[in-house]
Amino acid sequence: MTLNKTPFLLLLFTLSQLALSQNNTSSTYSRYGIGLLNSKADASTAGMGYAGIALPSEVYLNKLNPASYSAMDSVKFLFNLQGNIAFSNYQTSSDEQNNTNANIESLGFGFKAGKNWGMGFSLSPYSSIGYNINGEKYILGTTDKYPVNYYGEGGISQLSWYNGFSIGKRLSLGINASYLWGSTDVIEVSYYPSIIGETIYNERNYHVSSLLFEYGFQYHQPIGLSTLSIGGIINMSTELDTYYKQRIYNDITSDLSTTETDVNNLFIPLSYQGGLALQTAKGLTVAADYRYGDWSNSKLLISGGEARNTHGGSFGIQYAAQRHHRSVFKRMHYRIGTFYNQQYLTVQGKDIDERGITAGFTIPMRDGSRINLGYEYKETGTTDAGLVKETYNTIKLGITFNENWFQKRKFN
Amino acid sequence: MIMKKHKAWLSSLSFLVIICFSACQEGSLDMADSFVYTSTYTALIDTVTIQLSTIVDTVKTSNTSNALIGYYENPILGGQEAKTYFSLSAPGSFTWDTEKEVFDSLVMVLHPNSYAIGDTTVDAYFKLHKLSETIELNDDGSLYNTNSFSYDATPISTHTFRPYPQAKEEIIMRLDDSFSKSIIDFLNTYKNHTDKYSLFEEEFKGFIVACDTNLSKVALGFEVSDSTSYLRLYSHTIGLEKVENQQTFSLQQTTHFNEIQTHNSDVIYNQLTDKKERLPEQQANGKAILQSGLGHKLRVDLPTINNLLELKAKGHVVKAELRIHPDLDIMETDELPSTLYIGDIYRANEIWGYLSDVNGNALTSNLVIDPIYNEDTYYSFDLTTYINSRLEESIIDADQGLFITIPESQIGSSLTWLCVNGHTITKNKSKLLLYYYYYDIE
Repeated sequence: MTLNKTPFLLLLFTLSQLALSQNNTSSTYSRYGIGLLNSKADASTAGMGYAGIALPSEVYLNKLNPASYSAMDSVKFLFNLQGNIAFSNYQTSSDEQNNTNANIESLGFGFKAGKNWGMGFSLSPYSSIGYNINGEKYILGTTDKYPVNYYGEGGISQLSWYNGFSIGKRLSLGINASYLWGSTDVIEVSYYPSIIGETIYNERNYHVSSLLFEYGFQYHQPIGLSTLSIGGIINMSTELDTYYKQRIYNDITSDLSTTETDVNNLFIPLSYQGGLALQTAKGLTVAADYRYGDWSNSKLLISGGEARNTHGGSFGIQYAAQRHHRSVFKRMHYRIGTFYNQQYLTVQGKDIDERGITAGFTIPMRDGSRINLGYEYKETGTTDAGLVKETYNTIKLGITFNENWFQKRKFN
Repeated sequence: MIMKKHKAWLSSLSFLVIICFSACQEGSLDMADSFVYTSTYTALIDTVTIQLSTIVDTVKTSNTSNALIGYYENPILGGQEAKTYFSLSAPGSFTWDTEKEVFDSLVMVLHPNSYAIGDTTVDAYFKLHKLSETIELNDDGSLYNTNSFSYDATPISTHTFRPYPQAKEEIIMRLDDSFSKSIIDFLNTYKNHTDKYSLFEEEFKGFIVACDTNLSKVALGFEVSDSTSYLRLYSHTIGLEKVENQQTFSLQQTTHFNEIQTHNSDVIYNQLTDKKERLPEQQANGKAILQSGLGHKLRVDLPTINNLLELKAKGHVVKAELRIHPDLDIMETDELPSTLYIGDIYRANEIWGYLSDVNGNALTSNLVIDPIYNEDTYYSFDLTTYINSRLEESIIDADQGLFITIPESQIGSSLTWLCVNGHTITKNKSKLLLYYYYYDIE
């Protein structure tokens, strides 16, 4: 056992460093609010259209619902590492841009901490900001325009501590206490080639941090050999302590203005999700989720638009053979799904919604480790009103290591 | 063992996942400006009050290496006359064979520098007089356009010619023969005298070259150096055969200067004589005058500069451009001086120095010509650095202004001029354009 702990700790260290300095997105829409929200769902959940609020964490870490951790096997230690590579296409009415972004999505582990208590930790991006937009503005009072470039980079990271407790055989309750923190650099560069003026850099840096508590439950009702599950999670409106620094400088002299201040704090609004799942004895799993976010009360300033309350849904089906087959293809788990999410912003009077289809499979290893592959096709945005239509083809790779930590071996 | 193999495989896979994480981008999005909203903006402010006035100061005209001679009728300033003064030194190597040598002529040679102002289609009438007063330098070792020294009323040479300044054809004025012979006699008489140089300068104080202001309509420029402006003595020796000789007498560089004066003292700009005074545009039909030889400069003040402090608190001037519009109802485009300089000036017209650009060179104007309508013809000065540094001052002194002039090398030896529209008139007025970047400090 001691042999295997060292690489794990190394990985943990490497990834925690990585998670803080990634470039998770190139989407123009990430310039609004706290950026694009990332799902911390396991790759297997992602294959089912991100549905799984009601599913237990038996063979993988279901980070959607802390209550699921109560279902962990008492001898297992699950370690999950997950990444993705996204091929994105951004279109405006006149231009097109193609991006490739590859990122660590999440890092987590879980184990049984007590008889009725499952525990886990994970590190994942909560939201991401990453964009590079070329624009132009009029010099007011003239017919001249000047180019303005907007760069944004950063996001919010989330370190989560999951706790799931069994209350009787069917009900479990959970709490996820997480620490959110992050830093975002937003730079606006104004050039004046037509009047041979100075170049002005307007750089804003935001630091946010907060604790976020998420509460969940799951209830599993056997129906014959099948199980019908219901689950839900909620997090209350949470204030993000926001520290803000603005520096304005030019290409001639130096700093023109530096402001450091605590600004009006951002809010992560009340949000809740509910889900249903049916797992049959023959290995079929059907899951459906609904999501709501009370973003219009988030006090986010969406320039050129507004924050709105969001609704979303997911639906997914998985087939996993229950019998052991010799063929790896027959042992694999297969899943498909679809999802619809409203993003929390309305820009130029246009609602920004995303919809996608997913597919995925799991290669189970003999020791109980799993390699999860997922594919996702997603569309969001529109080319109307000068906006961007975004198309994503994303491949997710998740590896869940299974260590029999708490099993005493007779032989070595 | 099988389990361990799998672990190794998974670990290496995870390692691969880490190292191949990268990002790349192809193409760029130019977003319609409606997409991106930030509260920053850039605005043009062209309503900052500028106050133009005309100021005057004497012009140093010595040591300019250029002589200016002639008369020019300026459409606004009236008649302007330029005369040039030379003094003569006794030649160090004068030789004269009193037995055999015969005097032919003594001429003054002037070499045009191609500068001309006025009407070159009519003849110029130059006159050369003998000075009756020794040229004395002022205490500062210089001579100015206002200095003058007396001379004999009767010229010792006159010359009428059609000017072709671009052809650079030498002007040759033959001096009166009796005067010329008196020089030779003097040099021969005092050949071995220990004080011959000072005695010579006492006797021959120098010359002035002027023009007949009733007939001449042009002022012309000439190069002043040992090789371009001089006296030349022609003679021949009688012997077995006639041998022609020539000798050159240098003119003194240090005492050469141009006297430049107006003939119309009733013109309002010419009544400005106190160098501490200003003639505001409001008292001069909304105009201001720059005039090199008579020492008129433009003064630009920013009486409301303190109001700009409010801009500084919320933003930054990314470009400040001073546009000085010439009055093209009076001037022709080809009369416009090509380059103007700008500098700091204080309350009573104390000049502090020229402004520099970001590279440390003197800040010069850029002449923008509107060839079709003349309406957008103006001199542009980039005052970005100037305005921003003024706004950094703890107390902004509105008495500190700007002066505009032509390059110093041309001032003392030309009648170059510029009439500009002030801020108070409506058509093609001069103005200060401030491009102001507003930044939203949250």
